Amino acid sequence: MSTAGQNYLSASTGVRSWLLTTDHKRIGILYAIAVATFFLLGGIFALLVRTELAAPGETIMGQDAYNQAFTLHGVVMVFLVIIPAIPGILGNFVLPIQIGAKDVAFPRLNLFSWYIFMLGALMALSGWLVIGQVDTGWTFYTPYSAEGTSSVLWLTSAVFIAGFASIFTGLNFIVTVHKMRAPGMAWNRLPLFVWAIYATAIVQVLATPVIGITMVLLFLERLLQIGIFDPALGGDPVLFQHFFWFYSHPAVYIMILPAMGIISDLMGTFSRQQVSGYTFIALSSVAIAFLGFLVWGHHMFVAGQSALSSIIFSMLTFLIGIPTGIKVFNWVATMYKGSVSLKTPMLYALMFLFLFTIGGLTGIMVGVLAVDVHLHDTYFIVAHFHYVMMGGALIGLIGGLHYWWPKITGRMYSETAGRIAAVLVFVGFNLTFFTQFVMGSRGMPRRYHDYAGLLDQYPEFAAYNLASSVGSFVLAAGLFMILAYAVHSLVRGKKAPANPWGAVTLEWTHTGPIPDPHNFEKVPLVTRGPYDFHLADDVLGAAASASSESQDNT
Amino acid sequence: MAHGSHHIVPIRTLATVFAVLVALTIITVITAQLDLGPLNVPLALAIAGTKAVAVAAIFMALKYDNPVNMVVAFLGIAFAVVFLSLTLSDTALRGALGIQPAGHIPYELPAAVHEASASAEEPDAVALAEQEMPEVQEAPARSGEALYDQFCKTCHSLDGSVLPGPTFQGIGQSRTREALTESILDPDATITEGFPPQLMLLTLNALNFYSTTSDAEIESLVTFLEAQ
Amino acid sequence: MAETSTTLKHYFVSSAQQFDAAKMGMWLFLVTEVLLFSGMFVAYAVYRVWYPEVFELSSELLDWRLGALNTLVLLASSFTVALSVHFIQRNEKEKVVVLLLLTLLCALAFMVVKYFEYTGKWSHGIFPGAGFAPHGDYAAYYTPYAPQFFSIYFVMTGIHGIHVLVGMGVIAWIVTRAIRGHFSAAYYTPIELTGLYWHLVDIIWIFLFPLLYLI
Ligand code: HEM
Ligand SMILES: [Cu+2]
Repeated sequence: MSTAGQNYLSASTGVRSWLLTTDHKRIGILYAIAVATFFLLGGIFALLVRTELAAPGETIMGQDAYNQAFTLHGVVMVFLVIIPAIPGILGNFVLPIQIGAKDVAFPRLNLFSWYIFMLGALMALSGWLVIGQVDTGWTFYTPYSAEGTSSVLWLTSAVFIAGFASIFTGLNFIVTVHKMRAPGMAWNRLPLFVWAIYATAIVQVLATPVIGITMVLLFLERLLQIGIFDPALGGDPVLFQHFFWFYSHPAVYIMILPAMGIISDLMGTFSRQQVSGYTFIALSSVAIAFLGFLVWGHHMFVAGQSALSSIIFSMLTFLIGIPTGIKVFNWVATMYKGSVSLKTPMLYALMFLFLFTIGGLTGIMVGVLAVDVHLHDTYFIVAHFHYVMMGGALIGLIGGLHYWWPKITGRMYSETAGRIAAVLVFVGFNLTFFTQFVMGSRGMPRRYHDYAGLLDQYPEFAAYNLASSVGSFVLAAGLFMILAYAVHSLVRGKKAPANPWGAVTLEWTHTGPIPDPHNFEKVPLVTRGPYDFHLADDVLGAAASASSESQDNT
Repeated sequence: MAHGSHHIVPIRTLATVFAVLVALTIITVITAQLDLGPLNVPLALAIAGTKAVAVAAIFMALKYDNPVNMVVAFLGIAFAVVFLSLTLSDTALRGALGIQPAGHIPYELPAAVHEASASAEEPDAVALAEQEMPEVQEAPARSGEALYDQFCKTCHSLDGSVLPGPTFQGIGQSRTREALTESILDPDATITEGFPPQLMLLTLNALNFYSTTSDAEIESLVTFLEAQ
Repeated sequence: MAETSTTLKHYFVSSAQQFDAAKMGMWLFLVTEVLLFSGMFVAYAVYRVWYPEVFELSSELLDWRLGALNTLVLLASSFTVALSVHFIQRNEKEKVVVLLLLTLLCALAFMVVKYFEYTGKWSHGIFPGAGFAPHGDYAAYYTPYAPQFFSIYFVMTGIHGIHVLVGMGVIAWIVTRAIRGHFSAAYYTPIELTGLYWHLVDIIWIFLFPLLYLI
């Protein structure tokens, strides 16, 4: 069929054409809208939490409201934002095009996943509005979660349902990568983003069912008192933590692996050279996916698990450092002697490199059994996982969104505004969370609504907390600025060329400025690797390479 | 794997596998009735595993299929095994290094622990590190009545009503002190007509009765019974 | 190159590719089922290792004859499903309908037996969780952690039973499609996939039977 003059945005119009679409690109946008909304919501709760902690004593809310606020912040950010974000938005939009497919293997399942996700999300939020608030924290630990308000039931059902969306997305991507690659798209020609999403999908498929059964058992514990997790009935609360972390540690790799994939693509494109150690980066994603299943007990060092198993888990945790290190070193090596251009996406890639390295190294620190006994449940942990989840996963997402924005919307955004916002985000983020490392290592406990009682002994907590709260507002300002210029770009942005960055993966070289409904007019025949810039003159053309060089003077 | 041509498993093969599955079911039922000591459990699992492999290989045609599906199936099982073994490395080995109590976290934490956690309001690292480790307190001896409430009450009434065990009403008249002590420490030595053997021993063991009560406490429990 | 067939979706190149993709998707789905059940097997193992005597004593209350009967019934249903795939590959469509109906019958028999087992337990006060209050002959089995055994029993067999019911629904739907002549040696993906699912349900029972009834 000829689709001349048609692109996936203009091919059909109206709300129905969006809500019933099976086009992976449109589904990606559906995810983007949903996730952005939830991110705003989760962010508001974060600001509430930080405002309460800005000064000692009650600032804006009491202890119960505080507990509910951080619970909702955690649940929304983890289950409704970071886990679905990159696979849902960019995985959907980019992955099929990058491998030269017309769509994912199961387009209807893909749309179905989005609806399940929305059902879970709306259940979680409506439960909070209608049934009552949950204050267990995002971890739902027993025995507390087996008592307390009945809205725990509702929320765990929501998590159970949202889990299926994640499973189906992962399943879809695995099959797509295996079965839908274009002719010539050998495994060693897959862009590293594809490898990362593929590894992520393995984790989604293998780990998510366990959070499903965990939520079912917790549900039954509440409903029938089956006595598996509740110590008052002879159950074992630590067993719940095993169930929970068997999923939730691998889940942190569901969050970070896709971001690592984005960074690999960005490093290649904006250094204009072959990504160093391609095979190692690709396989380290898979290695991380598998090793990630062996370390969950590092969340339970002080929970009463057997000392022997703490030692085993601690040692296994160190292994994760190997594939992670491989990636970091190769990214650095990719920039070496490349012609690095500091466009906004690349700024985020560099930011990722810096922040994630801090997050990962502190991860190894708290993986040391003896160290973690002191740091567990302090702000040090909060800082660690924000450096990886926000500094890593979310910064990666933001970088990726900037990178693919022209392809998704057909418009450019203001480079200047982008850079200013990046600086704001960087400063705000570090002010917020670096202070938390310091106060955490000095004993500031997490999940406390107030620290007035600690000030006699630790007067410095007041200053650190205030700085952290100020930082969170700077960070928020940076994020809102991104929102503002994104909207501006949609309305007023310059029309984007087909390949503004001079990248050589298929989504840039084989589609128009805005892709066709079926991606390609004819299925591409792949003859080179994803970062073979020297072989790609045919598709790049002199103009593209010239324009990207002329802006290199930053 | 040639595209488009699907292997057709012959009827004969399918029927043979079905016959083997039925035979294995019969074997596992029979061997389970025998007392093989520690071998019963592994044998039953080995038979079940064999059956599962037969179903997967032939009925589900994994043997003839694209190998990638076999890898997928294998991954599922491998990670179920990881889940199982690393969880057991905790639950089955609590106390293994002798630096923490063994076994399952008991029903109720001793009162002393409750107080300790209630007073520790500020878990700050520095202060905790400087602090002496608190001496483990001997739990105060419990009264005979308290022990009765905690361990015996569910099965033995004081008012003559029939529960899983015989009532304690008037037991002080019908039994000597020695007999009472013996039936606590070795419940199956003499069994009252019509009541199940083993039940009391199992129950008390599971509640850690024998490992947590002192001789003096048993004495006071017997005294409490004598007074009924 | 592209085969023209009403069942071939436009984003696939060939129906072989489409079939392979569907099958791999099903295997991945089965793996998620394995991991879902693994949680329950872990719970079982943890408590069994802690309280082996309690588990042995409590399992005496489950009637191994009924368990064995159900095992044979499910094995037979697996056999008939495997045969139905065999015959559709040979394009013998009438046999497929008969075999699928037989499968459905076995599944029904399984659920009927389960119904009698469950109600038998309930009438003796054996419920999952807080309702656990065995009386009469069963009173002697009221040991600590017996509730855990029976909770695990009900949860595992209950979730397995739900899978059987879902399977019955899917098979019933497949039967109607087979009657309407939707399948042939050239296109039988739904039968193949349903068969895979059904075998997995069987495999899980193959483990539940000895763990709960025998040892
Ligand atoms: C080099 C890799 C990493 C290592 C070795 C590591 C290690 C650890 C350890 C040992 C803890 C437990 C500390 C405690 O609770 O006392 C922890 C907590 C945590 N980590 Fe990591 N981590 C790594 C990467 C990540 C990544 C990539 C993420 C997410 C994207 C992440 C998210 C978290 C979260 C959310 C928690 C705290 C959960 C909670 O208690 O609420 N970590 N990490
Ligand atoms: Cu972890």
